[in-house]
Amino acid sequence: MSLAVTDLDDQLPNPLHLIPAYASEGSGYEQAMHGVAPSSGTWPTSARAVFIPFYLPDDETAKRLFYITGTSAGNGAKTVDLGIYLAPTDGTLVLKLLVSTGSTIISATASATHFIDITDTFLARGEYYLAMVYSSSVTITCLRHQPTGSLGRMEGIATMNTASPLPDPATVVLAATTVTVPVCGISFRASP
Amino acid sequence: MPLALPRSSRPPGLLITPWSLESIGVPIQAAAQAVPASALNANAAQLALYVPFRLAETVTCYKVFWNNGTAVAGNVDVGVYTEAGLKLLSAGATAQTTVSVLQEVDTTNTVLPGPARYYMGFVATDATTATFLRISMPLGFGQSLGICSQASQTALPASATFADPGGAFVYLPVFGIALRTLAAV
Repeated sequence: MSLAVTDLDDQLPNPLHLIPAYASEGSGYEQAMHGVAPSSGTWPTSARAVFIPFYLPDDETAKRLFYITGTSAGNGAKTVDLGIYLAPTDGTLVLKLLVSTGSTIISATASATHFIDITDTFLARGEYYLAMVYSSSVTITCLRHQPTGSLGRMEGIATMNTASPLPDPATVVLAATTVTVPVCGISFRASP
Repeated sequence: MPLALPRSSRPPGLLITPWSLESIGVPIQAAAQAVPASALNANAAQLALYVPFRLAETVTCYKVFWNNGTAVAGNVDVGVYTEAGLKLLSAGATAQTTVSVLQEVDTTNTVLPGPARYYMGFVATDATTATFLRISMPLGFGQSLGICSQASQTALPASATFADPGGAFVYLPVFGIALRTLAAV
């Protein structure tokens, strides 16, 4: 008889909600050094997608993705897209899209978390990116923080221009200057 | 002779609060939320809060607690729920007594199997006088952390109905469970 590694699994289970920029499974410890609370702000550049790395200690099924509107919410025209990408194992920065919300009208309700259902998607234990993009950088805001370029790089943040809706594959680059990192995440429960 | 397998995970903290690694502590600190201070509960009276936490291994809960602020009034209840909303233990409605202390309540010693995910429940019946150590989070942030709520509870219910706390929810009090027998101050 042999023991499988999974028989010895006593790691912390996945959180019910995972915010890659703030979670221990993402860049939460690094972001803590930034020492600045998230605040409402506009998207830096229209259609510039932000990719935030994270890992899952256990297999899990993603059911919803979410973002938080800022004090100036959607106007019924501009869109948000959220998606999960598989992190490549060959050291490249070409990411494979696993699931996304597709372009979705940004909610008109300010300062609230907005959940978007996705096709239930099995995620094996491993490494991924959560991506988010606003189609417009004008007026409409989200809750976000802005680590400087060096801190953003240390957190593994990457970006891609002209990426709305989120493309597959996505060829990303490392954050070069102050980067806007939205508070967005994955829910592993169907509700609330 | 039984085979003893080495543990590969960090042991759980003896006290688990929303600020713990097992709960939403890392996101709270990464988002640079302020140090808790004494202030009115300020969430609606009788609004039960359910804060997710997770255990890497099986533990036993001996007590629950919360941190009173500089004024006390009404009742408080703290407990633990399964991920599906079944209450496993709670203090029961307990009068808030002494100001500016960690108030602890004995519970039936209860085994919480792990690895597993749970919710810590908290409810206070007074929102106009009672104070707690608590933080105020950005609008919408509590929802993103997976915190749930349930209105109109004078004590934690046997079965929780998890609801979205809404964008207006911002206040998170200091409370938690103890995996040891605390000594009253």
